[in-house]
Amino acid sequence: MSEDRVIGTGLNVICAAERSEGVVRYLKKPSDVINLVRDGDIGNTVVLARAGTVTFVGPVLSRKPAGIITIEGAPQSHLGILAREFGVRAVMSIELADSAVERKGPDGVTSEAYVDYAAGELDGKRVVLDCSDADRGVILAAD
Amino acid sequence: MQTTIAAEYLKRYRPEDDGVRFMPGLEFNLAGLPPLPDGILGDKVLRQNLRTALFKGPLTESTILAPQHSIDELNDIMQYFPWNFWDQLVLRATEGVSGLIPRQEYELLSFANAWLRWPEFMLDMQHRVGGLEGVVELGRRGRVPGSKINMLHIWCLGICSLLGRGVFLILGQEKPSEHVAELNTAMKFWEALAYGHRADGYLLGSQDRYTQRNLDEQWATRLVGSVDSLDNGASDFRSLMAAAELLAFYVHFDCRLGMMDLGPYILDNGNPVIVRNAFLREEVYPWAEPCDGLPYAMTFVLEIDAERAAIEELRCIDIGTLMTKPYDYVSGIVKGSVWVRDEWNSEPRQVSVGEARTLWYEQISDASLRIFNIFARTPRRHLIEQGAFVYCVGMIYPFLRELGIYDEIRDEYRLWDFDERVSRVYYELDRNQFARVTVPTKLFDPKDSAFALVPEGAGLWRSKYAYV
Repeated sequence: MSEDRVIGTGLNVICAAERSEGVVRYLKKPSDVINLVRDGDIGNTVVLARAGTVTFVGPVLSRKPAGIITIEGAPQSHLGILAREFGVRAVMSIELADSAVERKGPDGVTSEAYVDYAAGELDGKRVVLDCSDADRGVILAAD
Repeated sequence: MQTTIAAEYLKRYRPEDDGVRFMPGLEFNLAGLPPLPDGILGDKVLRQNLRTALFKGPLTESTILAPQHSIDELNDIMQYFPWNFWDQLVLRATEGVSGLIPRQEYELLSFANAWLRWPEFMLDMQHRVGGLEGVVELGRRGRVPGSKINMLHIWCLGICSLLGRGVFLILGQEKPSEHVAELNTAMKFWEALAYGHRADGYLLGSQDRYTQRNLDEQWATRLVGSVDSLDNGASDFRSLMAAAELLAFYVHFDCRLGMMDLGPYILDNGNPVIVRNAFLREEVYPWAEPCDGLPYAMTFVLEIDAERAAIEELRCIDIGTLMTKPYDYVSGIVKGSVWVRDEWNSEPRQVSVGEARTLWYEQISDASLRIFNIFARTPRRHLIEQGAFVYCVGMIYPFLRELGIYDEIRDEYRLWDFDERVSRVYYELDRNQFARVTVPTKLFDPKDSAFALVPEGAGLWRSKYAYV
């Protein structure tokens, strides 16, 4: 297992010595959230969502996924606060290693192209979240 | 060494201390002001650059009861409030686009409606309670746990009025010299509520080192004295609190109106105690039906081990959220208690953590999922309109309810309705990314500010009777 290959890094939400592992599942629409709650293996899933808003991933958050990755957002957000209270590891505002797409579009905000690229790169991959550093969370390839 | 760390955040309450920067390097820029950092230092620098005494120190009731502000005072508000707003946005950071609720869109619509409609409701309430003195008293009534007459709602009545003015300024449908009378009405009402509620002479927590000690002494003593060691139940306590907070966000359409953190109340051992309110039920919101049977509000009292969490600074910001540096205070929660308010006006009562979990945890989690499902099935336009009402009705509703006039105002003024001009704003929301890019950009653009000052010489009587 080549755990040392860094896929990306981001802002760490909860400092934890133990790593967590799971398969990334990209939740794009509310129906994706509902499907995961209904029939998904949440405990072995690392949820990937675009934003740091708490209500979008809320139903999943309380069911303790292996982790959460967001493309935007910060640990000071309410999603960050609730992830800490539920004890769920989370890495936010990720930057992918060797990204082929610029994060910001001409209007200065995260572009749809970057969101699609990040989702495409991570969805379905088995990853390990290393949240041992207080500020920086690391996403590693698990296989 | 450990003792030094524990004492660190207490230094922030010394008058000479400038606080720590939560976002180093970021500055707020507004025309006519020097660049302002976040936090205690930002407040200090800003106060030195204002025109009047309004934000310079504790106010007395005679200032509050003056019937209207001068143009200079209005312009001080027009500069202090935006900094206070920015200062809190910096802490929240950009959450990004929600996949569930179009929040930026509904916020804009609500600001516009608030600006055109609230002044009339405010004048009505002010008249019924016998003037601004009665409004001060109305603010005082919220100094109990589990009350929505709280700093967040009061703050919203002020800032959302200014933001609504800003929306019309950006759209070019209003000039800074117009609607001065309505601006004065809204700011006097906000100011009187804040003065009564805080009871320390300040209008905003950022003026007083981010404290929200807005409970009557008797309640503060009871709540602070109720915390007990969590021992092995810390995880249960935290997850119950998280579930309640999450539901509060669903009930209030992904915004913070369902939350209010108070404090810090500082113990003899140096630890801070935070009183966290989560509002779980609101009958006026149709989507909140799954919450029937839950307490109206749950209040969590948290003692945080400042040493363990190595807290350098602790801010209870005006939008009802505790922020710390470093940001993980959750791991430092060592004691706690749970209180509930069964109805909005019933006596708060303490329950054990175990009892609260047994009685409500499952229903709270279930209600969150059910409301999520309702939102997931709701068309976008309906989400925007309903969300807008959570702001422009929900923010003023607790005051109407307290005075027993909600039904009357709802029917007489068609409270749950948009002004026709606001309905037209709906169609602007998506054009050229107006809601998501244009307004957020222009809000803090020093050259093109949505918080344009009222021009010198503008009449305090000036309204805007015709849209021509």
